[in-house]
Amino acid sequence: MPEDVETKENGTERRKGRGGGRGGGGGGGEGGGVSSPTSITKKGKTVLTRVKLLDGSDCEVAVEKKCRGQDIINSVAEQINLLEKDYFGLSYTDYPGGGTAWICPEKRVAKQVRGRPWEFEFQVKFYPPDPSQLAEDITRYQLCLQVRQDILAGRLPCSFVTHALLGSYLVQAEVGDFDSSMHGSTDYLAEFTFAPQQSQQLLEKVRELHKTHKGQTPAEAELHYLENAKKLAMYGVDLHPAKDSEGVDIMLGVCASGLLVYRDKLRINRFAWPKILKISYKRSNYYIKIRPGEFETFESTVGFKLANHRAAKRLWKVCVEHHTFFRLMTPEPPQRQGLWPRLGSKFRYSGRTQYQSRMAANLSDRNNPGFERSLSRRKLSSRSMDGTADKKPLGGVAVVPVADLVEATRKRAAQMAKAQPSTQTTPPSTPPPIYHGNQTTTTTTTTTTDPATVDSGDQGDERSGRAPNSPLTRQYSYEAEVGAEKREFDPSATGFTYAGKAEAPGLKGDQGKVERKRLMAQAFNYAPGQNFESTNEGAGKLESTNDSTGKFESANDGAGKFESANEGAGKFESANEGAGKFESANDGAGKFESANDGAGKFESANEGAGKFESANQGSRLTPMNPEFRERSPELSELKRSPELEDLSGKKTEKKSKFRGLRGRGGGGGGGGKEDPKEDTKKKKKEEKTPKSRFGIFARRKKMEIPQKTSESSESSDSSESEMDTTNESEGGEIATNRNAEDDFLANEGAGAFKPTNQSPGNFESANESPEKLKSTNQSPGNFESANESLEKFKSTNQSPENFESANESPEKLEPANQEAVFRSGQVVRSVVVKDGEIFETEEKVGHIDEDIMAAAAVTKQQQQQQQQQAANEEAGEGRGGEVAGGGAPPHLSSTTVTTISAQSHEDAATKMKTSQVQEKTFTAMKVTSGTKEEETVVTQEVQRHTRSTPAAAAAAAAAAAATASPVKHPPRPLSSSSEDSGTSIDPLEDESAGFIVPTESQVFDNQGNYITTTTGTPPLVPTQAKKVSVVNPDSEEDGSVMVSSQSISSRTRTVETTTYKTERDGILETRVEQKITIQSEGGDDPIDHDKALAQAIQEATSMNPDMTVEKIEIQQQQQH
Amino acid sequence: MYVAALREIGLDVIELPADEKHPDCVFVEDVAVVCNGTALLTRPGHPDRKNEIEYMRSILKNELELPVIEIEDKKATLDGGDVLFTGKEFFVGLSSRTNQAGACALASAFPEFPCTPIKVEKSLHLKTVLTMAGPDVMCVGNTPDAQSILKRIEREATFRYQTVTVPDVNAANVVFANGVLLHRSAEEYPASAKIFEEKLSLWNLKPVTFSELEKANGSLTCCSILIRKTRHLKNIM
Repeated sequence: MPEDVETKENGTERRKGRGGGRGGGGGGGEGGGVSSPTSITKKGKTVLTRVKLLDGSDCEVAVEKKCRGQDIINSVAEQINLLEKDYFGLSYTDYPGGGTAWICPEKRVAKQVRGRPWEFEFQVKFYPPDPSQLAEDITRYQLCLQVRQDILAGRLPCSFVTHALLGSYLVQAEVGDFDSSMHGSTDYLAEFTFAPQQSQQLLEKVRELHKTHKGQTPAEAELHYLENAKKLAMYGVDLHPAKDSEGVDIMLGVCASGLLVYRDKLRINRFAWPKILKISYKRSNYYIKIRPGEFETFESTVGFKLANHRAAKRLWKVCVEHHTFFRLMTPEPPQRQGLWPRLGSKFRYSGRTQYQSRMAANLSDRNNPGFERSLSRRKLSSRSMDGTADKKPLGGVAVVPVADLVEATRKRAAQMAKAQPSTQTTPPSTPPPIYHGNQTTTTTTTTTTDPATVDSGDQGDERSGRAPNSPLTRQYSYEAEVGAEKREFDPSATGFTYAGKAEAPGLKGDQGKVERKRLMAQAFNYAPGQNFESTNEGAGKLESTNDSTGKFESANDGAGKFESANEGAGKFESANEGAGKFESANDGAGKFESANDGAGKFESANEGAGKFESANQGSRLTPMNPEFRERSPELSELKRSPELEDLSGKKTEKKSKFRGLRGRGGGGGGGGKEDPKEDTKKKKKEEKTPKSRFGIFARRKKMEIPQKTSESSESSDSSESEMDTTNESEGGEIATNRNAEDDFLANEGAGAFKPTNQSPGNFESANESPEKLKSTNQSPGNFESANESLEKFKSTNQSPENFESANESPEKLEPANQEAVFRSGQVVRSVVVKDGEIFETEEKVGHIDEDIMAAAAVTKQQQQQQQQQAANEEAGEGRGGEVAGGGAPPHLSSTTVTTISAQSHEDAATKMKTSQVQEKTFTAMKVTSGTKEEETVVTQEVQRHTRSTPAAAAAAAAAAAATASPVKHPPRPLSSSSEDSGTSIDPLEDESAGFIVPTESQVFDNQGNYITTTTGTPPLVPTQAKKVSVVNPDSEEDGSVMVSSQSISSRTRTVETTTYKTERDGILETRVEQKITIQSEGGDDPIDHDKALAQAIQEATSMNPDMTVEKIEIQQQQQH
Repeated sequence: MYVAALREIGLDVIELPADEKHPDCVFVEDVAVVCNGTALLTRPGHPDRKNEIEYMRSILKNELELPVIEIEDKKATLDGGDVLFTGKEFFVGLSSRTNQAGACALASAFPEFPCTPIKVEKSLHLKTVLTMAGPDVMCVGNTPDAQSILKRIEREATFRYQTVTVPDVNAANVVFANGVLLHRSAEEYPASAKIFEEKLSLWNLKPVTFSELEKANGSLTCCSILIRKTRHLKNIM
């Protein structure tokens, strides 16, 4: 068993090595600066490090001299936009013991280079045995480059046939489809290098095979390339020369599966990791202790002699690392994040294991990023034969050794900048986005996507400049009707620049007109370019941001992000970043975060909303799921961002019965900041009514209205009327909402509100109007306007919960509850949103309400069947007081904010519907800063014919205020369930609990819907700051502490993994609970449950070979 | 009859003319190894057979248009009968006919696949006691020698294989092609044939009577080289 492997190094040797290391380190740092003048420039304490990338280009990163290896890896990965960096490492060649060695990520680089120039190679350190399991194409591309390099260097021997085969895939990736007119001879292959020695015959064979790959995209061709390369005998084998006990020259190969012994070219022995009990080294000898075979009784030890002790140690380390990376779930000794410096005396691999890397990648909310393949770049300049660039696929593996490094690097830098944005924008390659939402949410909460987001932010500008390339794009139609004034802010100009908000508002004011944009995008993929464009437009106008978001959403999520980014950027830089993030992670999230960061919170908030809406639209148009996902991320992000206190609740409803709610707080916070500016400025309203398949269109109406409420109301009215005409009663409602909000906002910060309004509008359009309302509510929530909005919400949905509405809303909510789930308590500025699903039940509140109601009615009619939703609630004390004053229910009074986000995903194709509800409760940061936070994530999946549905999303740190929770609970079963779930809480981390909440779902053909949420977090409250002190009664039982929890969802299954630690009698016991939920919706896409179950059991039991299976519970549920 | 059996299971059979000068010429398997679209001309361990490769070379090159690799090392000896390709990796028997250098030559010719030498002590060839009876299924005789070979293979194998043990070692030599398993008939080895029918019935079984050549230490695999003929290789085998 792998776990049994002991890694032992000789104490004496080790100390020696260390001592040397230290000594060298002392002078090494200094020497580095001196010895390589070209590559090293000292800037204070920073060192310019030159890293040779796999495509042959050089990447220079400035790092602190005291940095550790991992820091360089991180910054390089950042530069090339690589997420799955755990497979990579930095190598350097002139290792004292000869050969190449790896920079130890945990140790200071200075101590390792010891005076040599800081020049490294970025290479694959752990070759994934199954490249198809890598999450992202960009990682595969890097691996392709590595394999190619290995082949050309002779490390990966191949026969003629294999060279030809692999070469043909390279050509396909690089050149694209075979075209007999251009590829009549092998001339076009002249600049490719396929093999160490290549013949004309090989070229001809490559050409012949190239013909057969027609239609493969670069990513596909690369996948095929790797699928073949991984079968090669020497793939991923790290060879170390040695002698066996008889003095015969052999090679020891370390790979993912174990240790291989080669003599000449024959593999004379193979020791799989499970067969190895212990590895050790002493001086220049390296030993492995072998587990006794079936019929043997004694352990045997095999010794090998290496060239010197350094070589032996290096081999030992490589073995330790490979074993840990590939065989263990977590590095040993268990450290939560692996990347901490080790204090122990023994070397251990402490990076992430493959398992963890996969988990992280799966949890990542990042969409498969686009990237430039180095050769294609080259082509543009050097290749004349291909007149039509269009025909060429973007990517290609760089087959040609890189030349012109300088230029290449320069280009690369530019491309990278572009690429990053694209990455974010690009949607996940996997068609069903549905589950991503969950993932995203979880990731945001649990994992630190921060770097990514930051990057995106940084490069926001570049992105904007970037042309749209969307590998995966689908059709994206965008219509925008904008007032003439819009031109003033030409998107192109403002869009990408980070103009201060101030400017934008001014523009708005000028415009004063209402703009409408209608965007419809069906594409879920993200063509960054498109997104950008949309953003541009949006950016152009303040509204544009809204619009843009709207567009984005409508167009694509990714796009939405971009736009939002633009918008954000326009207003704030932070906004841009955030947007970037959103896109990358999720649209919604990105926006939100950006909002948080940037002053722009408002705008961002808006954007976020816009995204949300768009998401809704998109979802409707296409799969609802994707949208949902996106939204969830947004929420999480929002939370993180300190500025945004508000939480946005997004609810994704599936067409099916569920509604997910997510809470957003961003809007509120943003409002606070921006209010002054925006107030003065005109208000914008956007209404988007996506029409789902059901015939709902997403529309956006943007209205810019002066601060005057009257005007705003009018504008809204008009918009509504229009909306109505379109059959989007919801939109109308939204508009009304907005109006109300505007007024309110005007009071507080019109700008902020507006955005929120708009966003809500979008939501509503999606059918989730309630959500939108909520969002609006949230922002309004802070203010009276919020109340109004709430009313609207209520009218439309149970949203009333929000502020004023809160009062009303409760009432409404109750009805809602009756129908479905609901609640909402609201709270402070932040927001609470809820959604009631049923519109009908609700009463009208205020004139606005009436309008809304009407709209709701219409929508209902259209949608006839609606689903329940989850509601997000956030209660912020700070505003809660205000809200309460506004007639907020008791909830408001509570200082805690709970955000419940529910997501429902529908997969149109499969008709699977999943709804997830997340509840997050925050204690109001300001008021009750010290309060405990509980996060409860409730997932509800409502499916007909579904077995189990719960997906847990992890998430944000939330503190559940006792008051808040109680409040919620009554209305919702969910909340209670969440508590029941007993997910452990990590003080510092978010927790997620998954439940199955049977929600009542109504059947429905049409749409699901909603999302509610809200946010209203006061700026003061750093969402991220929410530290959750966890208090879970359940979890605390047994004194067990939950260490981590993860949830990975795919289309048909959700895997939640929760790790607990218990200490009893000094013995630390780790308990891992894995909950695998297989869900299907009976009708269309039946699943072989028995098979799936068997697989799940197998997976659970083989999860970690070191652990014993205590019990397996199987539960079958049928809903509806 | 052997050729007929091959044709019956849908193979294109190229028959080589008998060559009186080379009595063992029927055992074409020994002369070349074809795998993954590449042919390796061996250096037969029996001195009398060295010239057989000449004819094989022309066939491979001209008729089959395969890239042909020849062994440069003069000291190397390699009989195709010692080369067991499981579909994923090679095992090469180190026997009286094949030496270390020959195994190395094989490994060099097919670097894509792990190539593990297996000591064969008593049998003529590795494949006289152990062959592939299907994807990932090994058919092995029950003699101690065969069993020890199997054990060695299992120890070093990268992949896991199922095994079918037959009581008659001569029946362990089977040919699996096109989803059909050619094995020795029940008239010859009733016990073994029964096992095939019990355990491998998911494949089409084709009993073949092969007594004549058995007298010359021949076996089923010996007389043919299976070549997967694909117009374009899309994947490494």
